[in-house]
Amino acid sequence: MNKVLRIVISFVIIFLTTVTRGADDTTSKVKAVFVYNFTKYIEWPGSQKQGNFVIGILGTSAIINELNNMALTKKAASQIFEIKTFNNTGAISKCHILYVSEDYKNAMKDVLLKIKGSNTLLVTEKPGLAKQGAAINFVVKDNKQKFELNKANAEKYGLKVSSNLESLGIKVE
Amino acid sequence: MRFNKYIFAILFLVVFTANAQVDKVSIAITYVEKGDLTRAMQSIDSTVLMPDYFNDGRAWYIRGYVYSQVFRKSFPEPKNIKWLGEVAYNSFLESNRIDTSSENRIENNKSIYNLSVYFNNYAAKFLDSTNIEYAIISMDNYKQCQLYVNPSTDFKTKDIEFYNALASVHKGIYEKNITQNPNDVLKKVLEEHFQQAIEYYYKVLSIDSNNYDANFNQAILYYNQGAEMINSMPVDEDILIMTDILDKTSEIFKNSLPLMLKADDLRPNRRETLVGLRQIYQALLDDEKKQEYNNKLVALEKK
Repeated sequence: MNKVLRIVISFVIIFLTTVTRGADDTTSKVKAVFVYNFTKYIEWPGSQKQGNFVIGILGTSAIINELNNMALTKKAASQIFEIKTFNNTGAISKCHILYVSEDYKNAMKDVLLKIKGSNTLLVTEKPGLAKQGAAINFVVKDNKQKFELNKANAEKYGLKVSSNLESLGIKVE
Repeated sequence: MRFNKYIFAILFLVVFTANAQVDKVSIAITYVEKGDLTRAMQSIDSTVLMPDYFNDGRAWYIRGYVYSQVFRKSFPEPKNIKWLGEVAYNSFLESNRIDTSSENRIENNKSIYNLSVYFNNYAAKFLDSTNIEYAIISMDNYKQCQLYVNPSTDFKTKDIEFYNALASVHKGIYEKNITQNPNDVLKKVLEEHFQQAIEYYYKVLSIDSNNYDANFNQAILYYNQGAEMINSMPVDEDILIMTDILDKTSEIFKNSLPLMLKADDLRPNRRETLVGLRQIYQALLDDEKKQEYNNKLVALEKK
């Protein structure tokens, strides 16, 4: 047999070492889209429709990057997004949306004290917090990201929730 | 150019036989010897059409040999390769049909086997150049040759290897382009590559459900598809549309999970599968399981 024939090329399985696409945190992206939609489906009082639209994040969360990216290109109606981060409850200042990361799931009392009397939508991500003062609380149901909506907790801060959003959320009273 | 003993025997016959008809075959051989394969083809093609050679097994054998040599050197011209290889194969078959002597049959079958090796190599080369259609044709031809020589050939291992490679090529095309913000037309094309990859991985798994590569790569493919659907979603996507997307991605991540678990069973505690499982559980929002695999990963990296 010709020498050449002894060389049998085997198939090179290319791309075999492909790994999952980075350390994708798809959850943060999803939550950021939800947050953006909250600005569309919830109405703030007229006095809050001027200046920047402030989203505050208490604690560390991967959502910060997503929201910062969002702020570069999107607006809440005509208001520019401003993303603020707070390292402790004492640092919380006036914001339209306050996102409380899981790190501060046990600090609800302090948080509620800080936002008392403001027009702030309180968003949390721990089961049960919609009953402890949050208007929106992210939960997982059937391996999917959902949100609980406590309409009364939104209205307490002068916010008006659209019926569309209401129909999508899990009602909590 | 190297010749085998059989061709030398033919050459000997034609040189030392005072028969002008036999000289026609020797002309082609001489061209091959000189490396002028085009003229060798022309010569042997006209020879086998002559009434005196039409039923000459040696002439058809030489035709097969000439064409297989041209075939071997023809990459990367797909159409010609297919044609040349098939002419070579059919010539050897014709030679066997005419001359049923064992010596002739042995030599023809040896040549058909050699041809199968060329087809196999071309299949690999075509895959490397992502010419999928011709890779498949070459593989079919490889099998045809192998089956002729040995009708009981078992292609199980070869099929697994080839289908895995085909799937990886489709997967590679899909993954390379899907993140580049493709337009709708390209998206459809990429979707076809995705489906093809899935199909070939399933083919592998239908032959051997314990094939690690097919399980792992298919799991990755599904996971990346779901992740890409979420990542490419604009941040101002309407909540209703997003809900639909999340329903779809949840199913996709669920498709990915059993495959990656199987891969982890087959080769336990590999970094790539642990990362995969951590990511899949994270995408399925199962924090407990995500943490479990993250801990395994940390433990592995401490070793």
